[in-house]
Amino acid sequence: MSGQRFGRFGETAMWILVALRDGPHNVVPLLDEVRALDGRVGPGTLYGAVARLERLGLIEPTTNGDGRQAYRLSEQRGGVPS
Amino acid sequence: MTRLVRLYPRAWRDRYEEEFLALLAERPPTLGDLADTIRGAVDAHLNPQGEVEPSPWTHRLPGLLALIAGAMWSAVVLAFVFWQDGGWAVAVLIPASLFLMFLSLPGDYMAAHGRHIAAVVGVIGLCIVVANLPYSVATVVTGVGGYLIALGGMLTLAAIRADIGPAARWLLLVLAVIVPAAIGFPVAMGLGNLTENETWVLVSALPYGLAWVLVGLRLAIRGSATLTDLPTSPIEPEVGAA
Repeated sequence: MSGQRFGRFGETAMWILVALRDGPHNVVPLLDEVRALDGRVGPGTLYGAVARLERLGLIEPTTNGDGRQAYRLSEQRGGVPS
Repeated sequence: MTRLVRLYPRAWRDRYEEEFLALLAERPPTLGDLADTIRGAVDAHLNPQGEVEPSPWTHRLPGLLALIAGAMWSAVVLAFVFWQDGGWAVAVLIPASLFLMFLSLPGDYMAAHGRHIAAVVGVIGLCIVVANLPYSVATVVTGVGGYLIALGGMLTLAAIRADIGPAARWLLLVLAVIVPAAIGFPVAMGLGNLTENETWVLVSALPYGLAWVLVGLRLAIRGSATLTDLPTSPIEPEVGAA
C-alpha cells in the first residue's frame, strides 16, 4: 500500500481491509469496526480511504441482503464474493 | 451537518453522497466529525479519486486571482484605517484589486453568462460617467448606488461560479455589501471630508475584501476552467444532410 497514494488515510485504509476480511460490511458496521480497530475515525476520513481503496480496485461496492450499500474485498484481490 | 456534503466535488457526491448521508443519519456526527468532514472535502478537491481526471493547475487561477484581490482590498482598507496614511495605496491598489476581481470572472463562466458580465461592465461605465457629473445629491446617490450594484454583481457572479448556494450568496451579499453600504453611505456622501475620527467608517469596506477571500479560496480549491481551455462544444449533426 503506497503511502504516497493514501497519505493520512493509509492507516484507516488498512483497517478497512482488515474489517472486510470477514466478508462484506454495510457502511455503518464498517465505520464501527474501523473505529474499534483504529480509534476515533470520522466519516470524512472513512470515505477518503474508501474512495482510494475503490479506485485501486482493492474493494468494491456491493449490496447486502437488506439492499443497503456495502463494501467487500474485490474478487481480483482474493476476496470471497458474497 | 448534511449541508457540509455540498463542500465535496460534484463527482464525489454523485458517487458517495447518498450512502454518506445515510451513514450520518445512523451515526449522528460530533463536532470532531464535522471537522473531519471538512478535511475530507478539502482532500476530495485536492486529490480527486475515481474516473475524473484531476483538473490542471490553470483551473486554480481564477480562484487565486479572486483570493489575491480580496486580500489586497482587505490589506489596503486595514492599512488606511489604522495608519491613516497611504492615500496613494487606496488610489492605486483598490482599483487594482477591483480589476483583479473582474479578471477572475471570465473563462467558461463568461461563455455561459456573458450577458451578466456585460451588465456589470455597463453599470461600472455608467457609474464612472455619473460620478463625473457636476456634484449633486442625485449624482452622488446614483454613483454610489451604481458602484454598489457593480460590486455586489461581481461578488455574486464569483459566488455563483464558486457554486455557492442561493441562501449563502444572499448572506454574503448582505454582510459584505448591503450592511456595509448602510453604515458607510452617510459618510460616503461627504467622502472627501473625512476627519481622522471618521476613518473608522471605512472598516465597513473590509467585509467586501474578506468575502472575496472566501469565495476565492473556494474557487481555488474547486478549480474552474479558464479561457485557455474552454470545453469544446459538441458538433451538432447536420439535419437532413444527404
